Amino acid sequence: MSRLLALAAVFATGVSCINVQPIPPDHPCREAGFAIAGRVEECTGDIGLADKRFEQFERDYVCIAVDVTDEQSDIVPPEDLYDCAFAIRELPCELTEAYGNELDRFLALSNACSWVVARKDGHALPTEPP
Amino acid sequence: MIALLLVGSAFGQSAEDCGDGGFPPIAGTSGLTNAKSALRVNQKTYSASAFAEKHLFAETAANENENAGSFAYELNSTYNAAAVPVFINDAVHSPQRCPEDLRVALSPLDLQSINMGFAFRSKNIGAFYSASVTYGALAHPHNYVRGLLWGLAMPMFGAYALTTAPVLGGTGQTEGGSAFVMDWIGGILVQDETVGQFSAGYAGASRGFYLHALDNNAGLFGSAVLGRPDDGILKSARGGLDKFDAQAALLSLFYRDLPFAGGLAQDEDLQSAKAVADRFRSGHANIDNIGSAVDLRAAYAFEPTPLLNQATVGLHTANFHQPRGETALDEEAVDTGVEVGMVEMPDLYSAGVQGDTLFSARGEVRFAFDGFAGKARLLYNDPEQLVMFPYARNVLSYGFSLEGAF
Repeated sequence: MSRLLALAAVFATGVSCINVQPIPPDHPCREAGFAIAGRVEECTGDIGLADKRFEQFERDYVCIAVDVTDEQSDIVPPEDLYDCAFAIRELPCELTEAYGNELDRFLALSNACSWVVARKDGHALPTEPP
Repeated sequence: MIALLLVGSAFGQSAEDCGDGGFPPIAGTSGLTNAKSALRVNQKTYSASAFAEKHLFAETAANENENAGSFAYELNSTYNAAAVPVFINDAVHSPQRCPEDLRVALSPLDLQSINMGFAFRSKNIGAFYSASVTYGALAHPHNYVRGLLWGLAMPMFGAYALTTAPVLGGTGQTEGGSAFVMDWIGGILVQDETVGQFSAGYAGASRGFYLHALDNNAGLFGSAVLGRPDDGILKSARGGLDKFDAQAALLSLFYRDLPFAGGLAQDEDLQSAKAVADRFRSGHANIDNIGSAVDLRAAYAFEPTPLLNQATVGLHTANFHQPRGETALDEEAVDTGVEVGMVEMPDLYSAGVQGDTLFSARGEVRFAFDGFAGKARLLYNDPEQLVMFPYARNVLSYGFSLEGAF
């Protein structure tokens, strides 16, 4: 039995090589898009509509690459980069449905959205929900 | 040795120098939502009832002795079931040893389940007991500690929990990206040689009644856990055809309906996590042992979304499969099988993943000795894993089971 447990320990160590990895630079931005899709799916049960919303997000917005080692990160703590996604996931269902395909309204829920996402047409994101 | 140390030091900082784990997951991310879903799926898949149906009832029913019994143990570990964004404090405050680019990082979620149970009957009446311990946590950054944790510490602790489950009661605790759930069922079984077997008992964690029926001839089966009316009467259900002997092959067809929400874990945050819908409904078709060498398998998830089409082909040695309820206990034997295929994963933006075609593989060794039969298996992006964790990529599992009959 002890041999078996030792073998299990060695094997578990061997197969567990995939460990902590740095985030891709566009991760906080894409999480904002995923949060919109996630909220739409949760509130409507329509996964197709959720996918459309994300595709619209990719079409109309551009991701701002973040570097968590940047000096800027002392002003904007790296974990706060996900405040945009967090705010969207907290949105009540009635507002999620009311916002519909007006993604600007989702991205105005937190100031953090402007740190990670920009409009492709160059206009600034609204600072508060219209 | 010195050369190895020099090579090692050349790599400098690594995630292994970033403290003792327990990194706080970042709320609002799809990774954390997926982790909560994965923890819940792990509880349901390796529940006490699923284990009894897989390892105990059919064996006891097929045993032709007047007094018969069976017992079984199983362990499953899964690595990388989800990737969770975490904040690593040491990368901010101790950048000399913990890489700065890991201030915010993706940490894998690891899962484990341990099951144990027995059933016996004297003539037509008997009893059964089945228990499970399921848990999961974000990976420890040091791989050696991670291996010891899942390879030694948790299996030893699990053995204690499995034997004391009825005393301690079914329980569940969830915090952040980790969870621990203990589940058990126990009751009586009645067997008729011509009709089949019927089992009824108490489900400890669901606090409901457990029912199971197995037809002795074709292999038709059905099971359900029933709860209180105010809590949704049907907690879970499963039914179908198990290893029907169609002469040229063994045919299995079954439909499964499992709840994702409600049930074991009472944590409010976990209950509200809804990366996927409330029910997990899937259909499975297996044609095994064609020409004693080939398996064909397909599965389709109807809900939460029609999200997975799979097709795999397997090759194995001649005695790899045993007819329903039979285990190769009487002779010393080792049989091996490998299965490779492709799995087409659709876009699932609401869970934070894009569609992909993944290489899938599994290897399994089945062995028998001195009245015991066992299996050891290794899975990589296997359809069985991806049906449970559709947001996982490069998911790796290993499992081990041992069973016996008397």
